[in-house]
Amino acid sequence: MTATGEPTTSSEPLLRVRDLETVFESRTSTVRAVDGVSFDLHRGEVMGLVGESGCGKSATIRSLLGLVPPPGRVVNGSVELAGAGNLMNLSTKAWRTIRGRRVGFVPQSPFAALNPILTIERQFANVLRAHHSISRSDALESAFHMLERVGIQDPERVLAGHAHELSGGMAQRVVIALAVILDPELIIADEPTTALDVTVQKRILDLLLHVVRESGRSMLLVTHDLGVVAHYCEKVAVMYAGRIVEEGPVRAVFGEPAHPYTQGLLNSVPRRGRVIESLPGRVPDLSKPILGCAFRERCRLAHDACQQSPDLVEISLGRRVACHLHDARATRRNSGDAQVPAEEPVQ
Amino acid sequence: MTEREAAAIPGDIRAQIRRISVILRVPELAIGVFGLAVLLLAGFFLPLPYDPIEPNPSVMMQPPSGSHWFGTDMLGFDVFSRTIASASRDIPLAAIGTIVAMAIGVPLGLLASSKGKSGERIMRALDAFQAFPLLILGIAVVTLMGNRIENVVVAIVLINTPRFMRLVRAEALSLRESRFVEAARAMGASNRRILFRHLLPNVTDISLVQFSLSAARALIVIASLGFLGIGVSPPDPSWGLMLQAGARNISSGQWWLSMFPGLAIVAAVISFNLLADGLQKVFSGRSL
Repeated sequence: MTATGEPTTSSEPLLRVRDLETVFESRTSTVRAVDGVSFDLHRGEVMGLVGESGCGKSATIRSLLGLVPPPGRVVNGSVELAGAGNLMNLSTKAWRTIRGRRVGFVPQSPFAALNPILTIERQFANVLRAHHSISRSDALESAFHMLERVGIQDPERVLAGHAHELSGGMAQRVVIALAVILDPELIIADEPTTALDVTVQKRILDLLLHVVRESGRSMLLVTHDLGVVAHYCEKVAVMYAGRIVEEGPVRAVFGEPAHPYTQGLLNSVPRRGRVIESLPGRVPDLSKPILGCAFRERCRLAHDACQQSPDLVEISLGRRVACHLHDARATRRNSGDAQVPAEEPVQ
Repeated sequence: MTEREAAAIPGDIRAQIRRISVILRVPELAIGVFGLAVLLLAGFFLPLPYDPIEPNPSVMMQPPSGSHWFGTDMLGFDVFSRTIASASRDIPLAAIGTIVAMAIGVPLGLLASSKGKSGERIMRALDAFQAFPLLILGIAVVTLMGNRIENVVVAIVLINTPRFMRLVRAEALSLRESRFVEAARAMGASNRRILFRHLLPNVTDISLVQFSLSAARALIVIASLGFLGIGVSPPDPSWGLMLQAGARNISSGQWWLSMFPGLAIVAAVISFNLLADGLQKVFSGRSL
């Protein structure tokens, strides 16, 4: 719900993102990587953030972490973390108490994310000691327990070794352990399994979800694998050209996609007994101003109204979509008509 | 360096053996370490046939012979004794100067890699500083501050520090873009922690290689200063001094005065360079 009513403590979202805008400016062009993204993430919720490469997923999570690499910067919007206020106003020092301690980050490829020179033990010590003054043996002990919890068979050997001695699955377990060792409420996972063998992907995701669920954490899972989202998330937000084009409960969004782009994404997933369709065209050049709906060029259902940019409107409870096909539906709902018209796009 | 590292491994003899065998497997490293070890051990421990700082006027300008292997010079110093004795002065001097340069240059280079004004200022200051020919600056410093051996170290530090700074900065700049730095930041690491806990270990290898190269250069600086009569003052032995003393006599046929200290310089410099090559090989062969 986007209602700006009185936030009672129970319904106050853990993370509340509003109108987030992040641009990358160079002398010749301005790329609007994130263009007005808003969403809520409640405690205990696992939300998937999907979209093609270049649609602004990574820029969004980097904005949430305050780590947009230069020349990028967040130019507008707010990111409110329960109890910490708007993160965009934080000082560098205050940011450091948020990162790691309240928001854990699971990066994309575990080998690149681990320092090649340091032993795993030193890397745990680095994370722990960035936040607490803790002795080396205490750090070692808590790292040991954490590694046991993420299913590492021989924590002692892993701690003494370097990243290159680990298998892909083990490295990702280590990275997950590093992300949760400070007990953050929110985990942001950036395509945590893309670098892994398919055979270990499921195990790692099961583990990650187990770690998230067992202590009631929330997670924002960035991925382009719709199967992963369908299997592990309650909520999903579909991004296109820096915007959220559809958002809602996974079951509803995937069962009855309201945006032609979501539809197209789902059709490009290989499934038995069906021809894989690919979306024609590609993500538009974000350095040029986009007039109208960004998906218009690739959309089979584009019509005159699409010359104008659609708003993200609520079409049913907790379900929002930015597409002119649903203009009528949205107004009808707002006017109290609960009848869902059978004007679903394609298929 | 590597031997000392091996010795620091507590109790684990197998690791020591493995480290030593690494040295033997890389020929450059083996030859470099061997050359330096021979020069240093000889310089410090070899019993010299004659006192290197006590001239014997009865044997001036003698060519190499059974009693004076490298001959004697115009004051009656034994060239062999002085060549060997110089090793115990020139090589440690070069090493100490380069270690100080590394201790200053590496942290400064890391700091200079940080984005923003401070990094930029450090680099512009360095540009201005390096606009001087550094050897001449070194000569000026030693002359102005007094012709003492400590000031030779200062000169070496002045000449070598910028190399460490530039090298480390360049490496740190590229490391800063790496995923593990981003991950560290995402876990709340401060700038200082990133610099000294994450980046510093990653520039250790190139710094050690650079140390070896810079030490070779420092030896040449010492020899150049000595040749100009700056730094080590007679009768203390130094290769540069000896080279200079003999230079006047080469045309009149007394080749041995300059030849042997010259060869010693060459041997020491080559050893340092081979050490650098070997270290580079060892580091790049390490699986990351």
